[in-house]
Amino acid sequence: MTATGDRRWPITSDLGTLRGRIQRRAALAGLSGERLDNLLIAANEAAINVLEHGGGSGTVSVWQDDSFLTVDVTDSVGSLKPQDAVRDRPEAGASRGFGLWLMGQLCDQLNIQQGAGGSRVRLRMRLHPYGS
Amino acid sequence: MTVAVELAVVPEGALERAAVLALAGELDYTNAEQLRQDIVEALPSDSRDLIVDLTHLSFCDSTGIRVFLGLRTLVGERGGVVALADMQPRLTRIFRTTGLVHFFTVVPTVSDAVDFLRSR
Repeated sequence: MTATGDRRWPITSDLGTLRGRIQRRAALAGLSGERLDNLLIAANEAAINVLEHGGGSGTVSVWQDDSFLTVDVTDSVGSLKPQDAVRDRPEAGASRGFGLWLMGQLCDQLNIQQGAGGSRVRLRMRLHPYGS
Repeated sequence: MTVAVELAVVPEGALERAAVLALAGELDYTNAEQLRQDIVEALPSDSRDLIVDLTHLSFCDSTGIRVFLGLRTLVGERGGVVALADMQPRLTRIFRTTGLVHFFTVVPTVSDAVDFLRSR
């Protein structure tokens, strides 16, 4: 499997520009409609987490291989743990805590790696979800 | 980038104590708090029900949803309801996935919102 089209951007308070970049890259990979929206919402939630809890600095990279379009979101704090990827749904009336849960609902795969320099949230969408 | 808030004209035949706010732009973590303040300022103090025209709001994240939940509380204290009109597909997605769509009256158009409020 060859990874192609790797793009990496810093996370800043200009989330609109970041969303535009991810959207263009995902469209190029063939994602569209609802599945593109899902990835975009999930990636935005991951970026918010970096701004809010992840030390305020991090990166978003987007790349694809034969099977997946992958969005990696890194932070510089590293408080997110692998088990944070498996979250229960927040209570119906809760106004917080939806971010990670949403990512799991919206993406085909969600996993988290924790390292010395920070945590990495990996969001993946299948490029051929219907086996075509 | 801020989300534009405009106090729109209440359509003919609407209840007197309903206000219509039209939002435009992309609502996210970076501008949600500002929008909350702008809405509170724009909201007439004598209005009870609130119709939010979302035709031109192209994005909303989980922090944006908190703004809507806060509005619901504010309007609820006045005995009113929040009707969200003309939600774009991306907004529908996050409202449905979070289950928060059930906390609001979601209608296709502003005039549907008016009809709903009149029938209450």
